[in-house]
Amino acid sequence: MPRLGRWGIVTLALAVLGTAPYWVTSSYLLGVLILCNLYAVFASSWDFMSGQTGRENFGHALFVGAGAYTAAFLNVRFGLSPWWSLPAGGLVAVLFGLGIGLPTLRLRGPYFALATLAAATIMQRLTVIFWEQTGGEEGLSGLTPLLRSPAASYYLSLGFMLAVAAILVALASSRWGLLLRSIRGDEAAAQAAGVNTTLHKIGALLVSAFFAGVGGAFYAHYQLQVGPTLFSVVVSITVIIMSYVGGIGSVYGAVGGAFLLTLMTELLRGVGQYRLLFYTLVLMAILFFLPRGFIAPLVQRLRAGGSPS
Amino acid sequence: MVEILVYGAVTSAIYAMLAVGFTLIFGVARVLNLSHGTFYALGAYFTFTYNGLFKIPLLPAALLAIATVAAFGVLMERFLVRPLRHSALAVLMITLAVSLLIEQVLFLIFGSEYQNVQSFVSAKVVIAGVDLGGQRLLTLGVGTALIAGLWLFIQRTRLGSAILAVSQDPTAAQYMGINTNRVFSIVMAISAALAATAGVLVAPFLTVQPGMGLVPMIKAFSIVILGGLGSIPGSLLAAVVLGYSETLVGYLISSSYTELVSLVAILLALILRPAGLFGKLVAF
Amino acid sequence: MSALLEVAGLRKQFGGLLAVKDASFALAAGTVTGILGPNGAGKTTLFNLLTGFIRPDAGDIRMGGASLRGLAPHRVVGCGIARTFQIARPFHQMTALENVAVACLAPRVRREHAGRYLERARALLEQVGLAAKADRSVDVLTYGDLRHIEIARALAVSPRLLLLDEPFAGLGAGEIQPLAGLIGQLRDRGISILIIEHKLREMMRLVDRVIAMDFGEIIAEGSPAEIGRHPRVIESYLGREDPIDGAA
Repeated sequence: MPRLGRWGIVTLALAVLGTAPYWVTSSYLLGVLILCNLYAVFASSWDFMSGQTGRENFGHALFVGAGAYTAAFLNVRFGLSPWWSLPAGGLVAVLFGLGIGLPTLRLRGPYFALATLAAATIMQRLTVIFWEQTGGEEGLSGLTPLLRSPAASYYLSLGFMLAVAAILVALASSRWGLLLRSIRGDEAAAQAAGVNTTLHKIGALLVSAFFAGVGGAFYAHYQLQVGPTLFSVVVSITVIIMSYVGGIGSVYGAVGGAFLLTLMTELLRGVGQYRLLFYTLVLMAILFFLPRGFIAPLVQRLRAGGSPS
Repeated sequence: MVEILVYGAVTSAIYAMLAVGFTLIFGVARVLNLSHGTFYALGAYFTFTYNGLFKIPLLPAALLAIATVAAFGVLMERFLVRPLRHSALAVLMITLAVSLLIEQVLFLIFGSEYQNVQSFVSAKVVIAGVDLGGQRLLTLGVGTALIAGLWLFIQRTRLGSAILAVSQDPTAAQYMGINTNRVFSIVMAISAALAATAGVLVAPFLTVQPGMGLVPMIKAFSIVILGGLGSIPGSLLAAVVLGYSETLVGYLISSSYTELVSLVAILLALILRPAGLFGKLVAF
Repeated sequence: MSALLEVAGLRKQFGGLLAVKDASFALAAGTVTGILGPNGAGKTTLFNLLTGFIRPDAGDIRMGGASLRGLAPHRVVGCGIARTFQIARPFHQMTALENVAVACLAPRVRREHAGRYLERARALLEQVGLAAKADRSVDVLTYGDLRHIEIARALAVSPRLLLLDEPFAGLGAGEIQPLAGLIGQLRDRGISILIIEHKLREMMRLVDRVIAMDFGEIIAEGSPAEIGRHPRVIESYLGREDPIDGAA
């Protein structure tokens, strides 16, 4: 097995992705790659909070949907240029993060997990209830795209994904990342070591929310419509599955997991409705057999080149 | 006025069944069962299958449905949850995964249209000049009876004491010769049966569709958090509070705002009383 | 010597159990004090109260005149109190170095040592004899190593008062002396120490003073010799069936 080294893998991946519009024949497939990039942002932003601190967010869809609907409101209702949606989506998601994080992250126990699940579901219901403002089940449509040409959109999404991944990797490798991982390691011991665990958990959640919100806005301006399903448990759990497949706690693992699962879904096009069933079975299998995930350990073995570490 | 009293009571009874089951399995086995809503849905769907498709008479079909769901719950706990007990979050994940799986299976088999389940009691009852559906009254009656029965069971029987012991200290209970694994299974069966019964009872008058369990389960969370994770009296009290709040909001303001009530309830509960009204503080 | 820590009327109840009842004592700076008592006497609860992990129902804790009551654990650390746990609690999936480095990033010490927190962490590991294993994951280290990491982590925050919860538990015969020596050195450096310990022989040789507890109350205070002869203390030990290894 050739020794690739971590930079070798990254370079290879970048080369493949960077030239995609040239060798990807169908615009449909290019669209799938755009989705891969966006889901990579969702998954890695989830992983930054839940993988680093160990407090698992069961309602990441809340932030995705918040960003997407913000984009829809600003663009469709107020006629603002789509480029405003991105920071706005991030900011609104951060506000949601504060709303959920402040009351629940200072508590021990499962409150954060339950509250995030509840919040996303309730938002989903609220968008249906207040259908006059939000378009109800049908949602809002008629958003303007960020860029017109498919190739340009693709490169924008790629650049976005790479930027987010780079920032998250930098944060995770920083001193802050060390503190966050100590919370995952043993929260009480972290407190005894002088770590203000509540503050840092909230901080991680806000970072996670921000990027998911920006990603949600991007997604809205790519699909050109938004609907209540953006808040669904399905979205939340898809993101979690992607991170689990990649290996919890690893940003590039989450990115890899997002690409793997999104591409696999497309390959299994014929499976159609069974997609979620398949995802769920994958998750259950991973929980039992590969708790460390699949991609990160694989990459580690490639780095070692098969030699004993 | 009488309508509000009765409808509020019916809603409270349903929520109480869901909440007590949820808090029971948490209090005893420390399992946060995110499939709880699915048991509720399965209760309704199995009744529909046994009665509507297999043409079994309604009452036996309902009982069979409850038994099936209870068995399913026990199997899930034994083979999917128990191996992952070391991680509270893995348990959350696996139960959530199971619920999604079941929802998908239900969707693939039955589609997303609402199913029709026959009423147990089609007679209408008139109390104080107000028309009340017999089915709803039955729900209230059965719910109250079951919870009272459960309470008596826990307080008066040996098995009930064993359950209490395990909920206080599983290790000590083991030292005293109690088979904690068997207690977990029994509690799971009770919890699932309660949820399934709620599903069976409401099926005739509430919509039966694959995702029907999610929102009721979220409401069960808010009740359990308000009442205190692990406390049955707390859950009962909170269920009544939520049930009546929703009914009042529904009558006085608008029925579409009832979900807001749950949201406000959860947020209030989390901000004001993390241990709930009677609950045990989660130790580190 | 002025009192470093003053505890007055501390009380904590858990449901029907009164875990700590009217605990009052003072710790002088630069001393080593031992806390004695059978299992369930309330010793670890007392530690949890002192370090902010549990809120007292009544009473006060004062350090340098300022009240510590109600402070979150990380704030208590900021005041100069560090602790170890009865059962070692390392940060899983991290190396020994990272475990100590986290503590070196505590606000109390971070600025003083600027960017050199990693070197400081290594130095602390060397102090407890783990320099060679610094880059190994804690998940593969021995229990004795984990106890040493606990101590290194506690020292990392430059404590004025160090709370050790059964530091000798789980240590082999060869490891007890070095640790006792380390504790003596710390005392000589001016760090006050409060130890809960079951291994009476080791503790009695180490401490200047002993506080004896039983059923949540302080039943006696004095020198090791006095406590060893105190009738109520003897009764609290002999009148009970305690497991010999002191495991809780």
